[in-house]
Amino acid sequence: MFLQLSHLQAALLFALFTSIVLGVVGRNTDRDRVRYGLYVFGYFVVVIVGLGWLMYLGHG
Amino acid sequence: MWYFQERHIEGGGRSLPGWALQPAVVPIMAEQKKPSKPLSEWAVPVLLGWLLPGGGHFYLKRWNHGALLLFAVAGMFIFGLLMRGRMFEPVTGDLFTTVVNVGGYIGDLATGTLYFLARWLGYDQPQLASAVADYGTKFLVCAGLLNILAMVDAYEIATGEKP
Repeated sequence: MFLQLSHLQAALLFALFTSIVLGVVGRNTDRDRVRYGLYVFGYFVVVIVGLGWLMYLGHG
Repeated sequence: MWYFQERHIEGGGRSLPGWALQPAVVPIMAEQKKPSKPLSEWAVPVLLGWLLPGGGHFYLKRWNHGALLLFAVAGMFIFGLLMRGRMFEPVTGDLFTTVVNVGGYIGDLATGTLYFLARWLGYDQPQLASAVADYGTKFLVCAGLLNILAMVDAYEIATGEKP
């Protein structure tokens, strides 16, 4: 079985798993953990989409 | 050359030359250094955390956190396998080759049982000319790096540095 994912799908999966771990280890209360995890995930998405557009526009 | 200049300081009632700073300074630094935590406090959770992602948190009765860490690290590792990621070998050579391969190997090893299980079951993927497989390789290494973060977290909880 060879999973065929697009760049976007793979990057979003990476962002999801990484955000969960950073959320759990990065803060001291559960409320802060959830907020921090969402915050990190949001930044991942913004950077992924932003860099995607940058490369698209830069490529001409 | 500056470290041979004689700068006289007060040390135990005597005036010492600058290059003889060590005997006077080292004991002060030793006092300021935090005492290391006893091995018995953190060795088991850290070892369990390496063997099974989230295992250290399970040992410390942080069930939810352990489950989340297991889900995230194992999920990333399994997706890496499904994308046919390559596992690194500790190949040495020039600096770049050594850093990439040995670093990647350490990252792969850090997933603990997941790595050994995949190897034992015969997973040996040659490098593919595919962007998805390249992502898979990164997923496998990053799963290990995330597990190192989880192990550090287990260490901090076990030693009382983190609530």
